[in-house]
Amino acid sequence: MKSVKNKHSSYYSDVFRKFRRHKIAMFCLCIMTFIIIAVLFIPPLLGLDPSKATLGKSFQEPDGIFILGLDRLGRDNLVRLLYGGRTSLLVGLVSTFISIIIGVPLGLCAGYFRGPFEVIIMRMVDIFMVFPSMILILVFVSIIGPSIWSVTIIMGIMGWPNFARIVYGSVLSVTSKEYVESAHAIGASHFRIIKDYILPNAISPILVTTTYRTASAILEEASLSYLGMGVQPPTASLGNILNDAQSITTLTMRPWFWIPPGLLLMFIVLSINFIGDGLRDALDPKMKV
Amino acid sequence: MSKYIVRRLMLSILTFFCITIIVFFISYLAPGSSLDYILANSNMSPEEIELRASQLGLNQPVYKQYLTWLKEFFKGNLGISLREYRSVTEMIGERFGNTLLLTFSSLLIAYFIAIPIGIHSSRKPYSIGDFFSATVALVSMALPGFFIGMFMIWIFSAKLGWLPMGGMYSSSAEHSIIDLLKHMAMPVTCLALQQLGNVMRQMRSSMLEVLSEDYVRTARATGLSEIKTVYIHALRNAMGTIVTLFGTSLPFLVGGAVVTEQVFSWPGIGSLMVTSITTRDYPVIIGITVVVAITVLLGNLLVDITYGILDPKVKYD
Repeated sequence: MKSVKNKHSSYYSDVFRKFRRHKIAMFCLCIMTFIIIAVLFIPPLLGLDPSKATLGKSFQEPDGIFILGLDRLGRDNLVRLLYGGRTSLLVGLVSTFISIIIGVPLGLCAGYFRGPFEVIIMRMVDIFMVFPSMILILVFVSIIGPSIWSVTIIMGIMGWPNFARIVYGSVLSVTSKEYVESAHAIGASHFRIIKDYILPNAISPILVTTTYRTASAILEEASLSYLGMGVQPPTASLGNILNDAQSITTLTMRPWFWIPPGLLLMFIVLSINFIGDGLRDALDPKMKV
Repeated sequence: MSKYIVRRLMLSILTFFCITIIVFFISYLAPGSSLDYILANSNMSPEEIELRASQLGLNQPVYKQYLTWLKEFFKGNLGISLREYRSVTEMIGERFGNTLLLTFSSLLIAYFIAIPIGIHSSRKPYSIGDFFSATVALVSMALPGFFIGMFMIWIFSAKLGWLPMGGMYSSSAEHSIIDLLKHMAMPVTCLALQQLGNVMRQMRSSMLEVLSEDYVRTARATGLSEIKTVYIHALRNAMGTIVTLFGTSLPFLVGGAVVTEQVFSWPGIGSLMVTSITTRDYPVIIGITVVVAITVLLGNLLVDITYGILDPKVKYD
């Protein structure tokens, strides 16, 4: 009786079950939840101010009060770390959201309407994919001027081909299926067909791409901020905290200053990647647990 | 076949023009123009500024400047740096080789390590070894290049004193191969570490696909040894992946090189790009973007053609 019941479990409860069995992904999900709660809620709850400086205590080493020490201007590194993590997550998520908004409709059009849409959009994807986005982002940021919003928007725009390509692929794989043809036959509108029959098929690949893209956007933002072309001080980001460590003295003598933000950045990106892997395996109906 | 190559070539040329037009026009619509930069950093009289601007062609309409630039480009002239007042072609030429040296050595190292591991884990999927290498791959893909670079400098230069902190040659010593290799060790490792994961994953998945094919089963059924089956029959069919990988890793390599060169003060075009952006030296920025575009496009064209030769299943229509 039990086995019969299991057969009727829905796709998503199945996915959830499979994801829970992926131990590392679950572990990373816990870590990410912890990090998100920490960066979102701890600073406002404790009333921490990232720009509050202790005068005359430039680069004070960690002690009992300031666990991670003070930075060049005498600001608490731990507070800056929390705010930096917040900025990085925000930039990563918002820019990925922008990529989705641009990429998903374009991919849908290319795959569903075919014809000139397909040619133009997919050629553009090709062009964007072969060119090193880092170089173009640097050029654009240098022109518009580096700030948290310019970086987010430009990275968001540069990320659309990832989504367009993945959506295009999954649309192509279902447009010729019988259930789509029968929907056409009963006179369903394009909008309805896309909404009810095509898009649900693309949800899993979009979810997986979202996690990977968020991870790489966070890395990109950090690299840009490290080069001084990303988030500008006084706003803290994990990358621009490390920018202060470009001087040889800080790099060699004060590892306590630049190792924590670097490690946090690595943990965030790694956790998101593992969650993405777990999701990919869980969403794949062919994968048996 | 030739029709296919022509089509790829046309697409590359189209891409090239798109990139030059976008970069050129946008950099001239920029608020802080190059002339402002010259103005702010000199005490020239208005007449001198006028003269300098007309020498550099900065007082003409944008499209005319683009056409002039394009004409000069085909003669191999990328303009004159606004800051150093030198030929951009010359400045890039001096550094381009250094960037190629860095990127290709790191790619080679990444291939040598990652391909065997990828093949190995495809032979026993979901084993402990496969699990381990999958974890290594994910860690490699999560590495922030600049942080790893800084970490290596801290350990190997500051703590242990084994390797120089940056640059390409020691200023005091003769330019010897050993000296160069010492300077290359850290930046190359740093770039290679970031490449490893991608190569391992791609290799594993394409080998997994090939290994489930009928001809592999047939080869096994004829009593061929496992080594021969995997390394002769299967690997040959997975070669296409290695070729495509080269194309897909080019953009990442270039992006990674910008950061890595900056961390290790490697005299390549990546670090030149960063300096030019901070000083708004647009001819240099455009020049580098164009050179990178040509390199990446040529690389991809080469990949497409090689892939076509390796895999007779590709249809050229």
